[in-house]
Amino acid sequence: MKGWKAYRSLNAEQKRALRAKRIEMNRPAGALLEFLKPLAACDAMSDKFRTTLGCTFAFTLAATIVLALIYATNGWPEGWWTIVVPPALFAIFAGWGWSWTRSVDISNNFRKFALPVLTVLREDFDPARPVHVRLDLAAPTAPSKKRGKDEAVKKGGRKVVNSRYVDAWMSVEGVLVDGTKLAWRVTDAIRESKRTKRNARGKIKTKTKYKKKSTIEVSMGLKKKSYELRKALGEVAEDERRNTVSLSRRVVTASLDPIDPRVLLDLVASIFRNTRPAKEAGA
Amino acid sequence: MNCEGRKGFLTLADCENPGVTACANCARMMCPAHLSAQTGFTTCLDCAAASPQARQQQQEEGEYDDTWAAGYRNSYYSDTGYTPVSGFSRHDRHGFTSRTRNESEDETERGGFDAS
Repeated sequence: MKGWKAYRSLNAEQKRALRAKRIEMNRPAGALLEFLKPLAACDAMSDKFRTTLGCTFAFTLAATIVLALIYATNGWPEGWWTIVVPPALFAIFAGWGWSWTRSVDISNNFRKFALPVLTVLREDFDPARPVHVRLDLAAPTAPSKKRGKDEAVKKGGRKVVNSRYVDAWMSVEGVLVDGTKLAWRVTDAIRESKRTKRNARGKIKTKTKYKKKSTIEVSMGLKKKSYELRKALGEVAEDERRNTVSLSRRVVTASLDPIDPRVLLDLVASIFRNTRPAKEAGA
Repeated sequence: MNCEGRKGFLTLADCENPGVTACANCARMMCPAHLSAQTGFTTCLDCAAASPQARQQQQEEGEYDDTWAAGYRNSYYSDTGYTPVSGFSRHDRHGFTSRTRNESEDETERGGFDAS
């Protein structure tokens, strides 16, 4: 099983991070990515096989039960175990695999947002200085992130129950090669809406819908001797060495899918676009 | 001769490593770090990223390596018109990276957010 092999290739620290679903570390960007990439590979593998294992588990378990019921009703023929035991063993193996892939599953925000952003910006970070990264890799709707549940309300024949989650899942702070201090954090506010209704045949059906507001906050401390701001953009705090520009953007989506890394890169790039080299400005 | 590859995304700087191999496609001298493993280290990252096979492979595998980063950078620049900051000379870069610990200011300071 490739997922298991990928997991076995992780070192103890990586396995701990995967089990805890939390990463907090100070490392140069290159070393940080060396640590994170195998985790992403393991997650990709387990994601790929989880559905197959789940389906195999359900099918073989059902087959085992059906065979056992048939033999229990009609009598157990000689050598019955050669027919019943193989699907039972398959069910045990697939069930264990499915359960394991679920236990090491981490939020897709990691593979679809955090890793691409850090890879793109790797060479911008000063290789001699550590980048402080904090990642919460638990599912966005993990119980620990639940902040409240509203009372059930009746709406057009449906019972609607809304739950709210806050997922502050990423924060990064580092220094770029030009001495600029860059920090960002991403916080998702999620509304989970469970809508239950009885259909014409009397069956009770529940649909779950999500609305996610992702807030991306970026702060850049630009050295005054290197950069001059062209115009006011976002909030600017000034001290004798730096202009610190803070910008934020909110992205609203109707699913739990990770946001496009470009949102963050656009914010950071927009701050750089608004600068010019201090030498030029002084000339 | 130094490597003709460039480093960075927001800020773009010359690579300071010595060039060891010429790219089989664009003939620029490259250091090992700027040659693509996907092409067996025969072409530079930019040329490898521009090849359709590399794009397809990366889309399928979702692998974020240096070739992917080079391709992303090039497409970001062309899509958004972003011009990376490249006003810093090699001398400036050395100035930034070779400073002593005493000279490096506010290393322990956090960015614009509260240190919570």
